[in-house]
Amino acid sequence: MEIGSQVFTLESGLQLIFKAGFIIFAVLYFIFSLIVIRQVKLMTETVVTEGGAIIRALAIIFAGLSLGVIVLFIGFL
Amino acid sequence: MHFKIFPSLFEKPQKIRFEHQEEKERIELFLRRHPVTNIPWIVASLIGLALPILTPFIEQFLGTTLLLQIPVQILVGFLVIYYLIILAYIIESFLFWYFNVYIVTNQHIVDINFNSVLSKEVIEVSLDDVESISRKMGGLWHALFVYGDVIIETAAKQQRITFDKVPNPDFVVDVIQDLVSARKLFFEGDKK
Repeated sequence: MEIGSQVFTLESGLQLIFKAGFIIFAVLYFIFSLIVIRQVKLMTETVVTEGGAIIRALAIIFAGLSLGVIVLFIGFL
Repeated sequence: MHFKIFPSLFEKPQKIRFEHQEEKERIELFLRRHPVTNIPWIVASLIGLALPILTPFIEQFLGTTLLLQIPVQILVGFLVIYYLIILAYIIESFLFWYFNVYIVTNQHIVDINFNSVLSKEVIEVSLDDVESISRKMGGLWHALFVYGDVIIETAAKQQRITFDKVPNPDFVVDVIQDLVSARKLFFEGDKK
């Protein structure tokens, strides 16, 4: 089927579906990373150790990475 | 054989505290599961990380060209998702090991469990309620790395606390027994 100058093939349609799936996954993963931040906060408040600050920082970096994956899926795939 | 990379037994740690720790309460022992208990998830993660690298070789060995037929963008997408799932598994496994701890103070025995994401269970039993302490070590793996279970029977509502797979269980039992005896002597002295 040809609409304007774009040609929709089965392959491009499948790619679109996959891309949407990847983005949904990335958004859910980002939500999970926010839960991890909350979880780490709860854990580090319950047990206060020397490594707590590092783990909290790593959890924030992890959330940043998850956000980066959304950008990756939207922009590059 | 002892692991020093991730210590899991601390004696009188100065820089560790826990929620609801009383002012005059000091930590005598701080324990986690022995680091060797992390080996299964570490090995599983390493295999998981290596699997996509090995896949082209496996395909070559089998003589198929399935990967070449999938568009690169889709392949990259699946690869990213795959590694994200493994990363989540590693993070969760590490966090549960690091924060599921057993604490022996001069007043209480505390078992802190994070059973799942955002749920925690804190069992706190007074040393006065301790009735008996036993250890359980079984198998070559336990003997080789010197770890096992410490089972504490109490007269409290929570009748049993198990320190699961902690290092040096004999030492842990000795410390708890000494603390319980010292407390009993202290209170008996007080009565006289």
